[in-house]
Amino acid sequence: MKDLEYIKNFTPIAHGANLVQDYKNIQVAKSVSSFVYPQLYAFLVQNFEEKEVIRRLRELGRRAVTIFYSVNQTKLKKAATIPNIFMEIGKHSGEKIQIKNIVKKKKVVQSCLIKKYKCIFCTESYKMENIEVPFCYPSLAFFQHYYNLRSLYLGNLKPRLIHLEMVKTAEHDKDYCLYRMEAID
Amino acid sequence: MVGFKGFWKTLGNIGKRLFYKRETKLSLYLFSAMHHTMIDIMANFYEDNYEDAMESLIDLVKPLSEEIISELLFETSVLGVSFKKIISKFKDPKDFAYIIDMAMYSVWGGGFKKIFSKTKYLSAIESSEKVHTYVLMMKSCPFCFLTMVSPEKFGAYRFGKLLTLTIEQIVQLSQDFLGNNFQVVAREVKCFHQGDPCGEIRIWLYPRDNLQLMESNPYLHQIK
Repeated sequence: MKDLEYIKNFTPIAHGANLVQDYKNIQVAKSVSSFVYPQLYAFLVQNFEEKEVIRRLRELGRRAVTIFYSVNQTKLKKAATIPNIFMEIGKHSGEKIQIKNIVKKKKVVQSCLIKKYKCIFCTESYKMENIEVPFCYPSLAFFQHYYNLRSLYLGNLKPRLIHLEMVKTAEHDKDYCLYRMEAID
Repeated sequence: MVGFKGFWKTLGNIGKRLFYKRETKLSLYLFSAMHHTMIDIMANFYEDNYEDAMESLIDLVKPLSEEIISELLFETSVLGVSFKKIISKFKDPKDFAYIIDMAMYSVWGGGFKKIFSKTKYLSAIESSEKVHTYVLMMKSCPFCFLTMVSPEKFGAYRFGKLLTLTIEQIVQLSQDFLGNNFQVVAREVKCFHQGDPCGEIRIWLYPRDNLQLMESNPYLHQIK
């Protein structure tokens, strides 16, 4: 709810920079835009225990969604099904997303697997040896909060809240990441 | 009639579009949100000190960004013509502004024109800093527009420092490749976040045998 408050109270302070509509269709090449994250990841791994690294990486994804929605509030107001919402993320991240093994109870999705190609975080060349923390926790958190914030805002999406866990992360460029989604409320 | 430079510019224009088209891309909204969040996560580590966070992030990022930019500039070929070959035709500083725009377009695609104006070259005589200067104006800023963190928290840093660093490295790597003996320095001299009506990145080429010229550049004393 703190995130929703942030979004609702968002007031840009950099006046003149705010040409939001103009950014609608702009995309940035991933190769050059991806040199900050691997270093931040390495920094966290060097400074914290595995559990804390994962918590901070999840936090990174959660905050990114909040900031994303704060300048994209129309998206927050648009109802959609779970698969549609996940596909919507794919359009923004340039990732190829497949939803598999959907389990429903009374027509409400209870669980599914999210298979993701071209992960924006998992770039083979920057893999670090002897580090077990999967690279793309922020992406996993992005999926989770992208859905949860919209659901909390609209108040009528079913399930109300979801949780995602990592099943596997891409081992090389042709490989894929796999997350398990579970409805928790 | 298309001149010698015109021919290479035509090739560069085709190359930058094809490169951008074949690259995996992400939306600018997501990119900007990630940029902001990574700075936040670092600031969180430094107990909300954004200046220390920027300092640390830049130290961490520099080597890898150099590697990636070098790969983009010198190992990329489109339709059998390498970017390296095109860069080699723009050795003269007065022609080099084209390479900055070409590199920027390759990353930002059509968004480049919505955010930036064409790079302007100022000769050492025209520039108030008395060295070859490139001026990159920003009509809007995809980084500043989504922040609520006050600019004072960043101290001498600007919110778009990572973009400025990238541009500085593009120019430095290219100048080294061209065999020009310049130390490249870039600063975001105007910034929406700081209350300016536009953004402006200035890139200076300091002759390595006359680096004391930097002393008289007021921006270098005020902005990191």
